Amino acid sequence: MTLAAGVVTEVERCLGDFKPGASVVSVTLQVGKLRAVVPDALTFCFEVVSQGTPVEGARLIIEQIPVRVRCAPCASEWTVTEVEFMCPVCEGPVEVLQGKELLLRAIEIDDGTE
Amino acid sequence: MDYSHRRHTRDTGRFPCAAGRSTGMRYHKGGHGAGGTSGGERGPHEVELHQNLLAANDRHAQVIRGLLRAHGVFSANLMSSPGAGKTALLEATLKRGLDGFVMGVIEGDIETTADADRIAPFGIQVVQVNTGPFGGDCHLAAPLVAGAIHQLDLHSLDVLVVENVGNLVCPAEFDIGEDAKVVLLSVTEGEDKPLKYPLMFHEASLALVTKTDLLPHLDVDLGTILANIRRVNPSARIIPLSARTGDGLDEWITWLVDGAKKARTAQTDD
Repeated sequence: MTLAAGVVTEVERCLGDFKPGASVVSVTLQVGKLRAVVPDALTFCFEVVSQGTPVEGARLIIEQIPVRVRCAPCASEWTVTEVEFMCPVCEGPVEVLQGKELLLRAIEIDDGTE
Repeated sequence: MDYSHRRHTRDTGRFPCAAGRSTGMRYHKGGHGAGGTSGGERGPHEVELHQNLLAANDRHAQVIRGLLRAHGVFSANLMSSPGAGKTALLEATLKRGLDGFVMGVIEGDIETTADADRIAPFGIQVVQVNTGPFGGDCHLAAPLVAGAIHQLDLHSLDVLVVENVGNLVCPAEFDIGEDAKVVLLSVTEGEDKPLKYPLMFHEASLALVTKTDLLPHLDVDLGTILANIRRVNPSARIIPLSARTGDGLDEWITWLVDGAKKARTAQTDD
C-alpha cells in the first residue's frame, strides 16, 4: 500500500507540469523479482489509492525483472529461478546483478498535444 | 520497446517534473504505434522516468547514516516475524550489559508502547515509534526513524538498536540508515522460512536463530535451518542463541561490541 501510494504521489507530481486536464493513460513500473511485490496486490492497491486523484483510471503495467547473479571466482552469470544465492560449483556467495529494481519506468500521458 | 523516436520535451526545454532533471527523462511517442517522428500527431505519449521509487526513503536513510557515523554510533536494524523474540533478546542483552558500551533503542510497532515499556526499566534511552493504528505501516521507513533519532542524545550512545515492526517481508525493503541488518528466526517458525522470505535473509549480514532452548521439544532440525539461511545468503554470519538460557548470547554481544568499537574508531579517524 505504501508503494502504491508512492507511485500515485510521484505520478501526480509529474502530471503537475503538463496541461491542466492531462490524463494518465498508463504507468509502467519495473520490479525485480527479488522484491517482495505481488503484482496483483500492487495493482489492487494502486486502483484503490488512485481513486479521486488525476491518476484514477490509469493502467498499471508491471514489468518483472528476473534475478540474475554472478559468481566472481567462477566468472559465470546465470538467472536464478529458485531462491539460491550460492554458486553451485564453488558454493561461494554470488553477486546480484539485477532483480532488486523498484522503478517508476515511464508514464503515458494524454494532454491533447503531440 | 522501441526507443528510436525519442524526443525532447516542450519548447521551454524544461523537464516536466523534478525526476526528469536527474534521471534523463525522455519523451517517447506511444499509443499510436511506431513512426511518429514529426509533428502534427496528437495522442498519448510516453515519458521515460526511470525513477527509483525508494529514492525519497533512501535520502532520509543517508542523512541518518551520516548523523550516526558523525557521533560514532553503531546501528543495527533488528527484523523478524512477530514473536520471534526481538524484545526478549534486547532485555537479555541489557541485563548482560555491553562491556561498558551504552546502548539506545528505537522500538517500532504498529501500535502500543508495550515494547518500550519493557525496555524502560533498564534506564537506557528508548523511543517508541508507532506507524499508526488501523492499517499502520507494516515496516519502519527512514523518515519515521529520523524523527525518533532526533529525540535521542547521540553523544551519549555507542550502539543504537532499532527494533523493526514484526514482519518478515516489507522491513527488508527499506533502508533506515543502519550499519547492519539483523534478522531473527525462532526455531518454532520452521526450517523453510529463509527460502520463503528470501529478500529478508539475503539482505541481512547477521542471522540470529533464537529460542534454541526449545529445540528438544520440537521436530525441527537446527542444521537444516542453518543450511537454508546459507542457501539464500552464504556470506551471512549466523548465531544460534537463547535469550532465556543465555546460550549464544556472548557471541551476539561480542558482535555488537565489535561494531561499536569500529564505529568509534571510524569517528576518530574522521
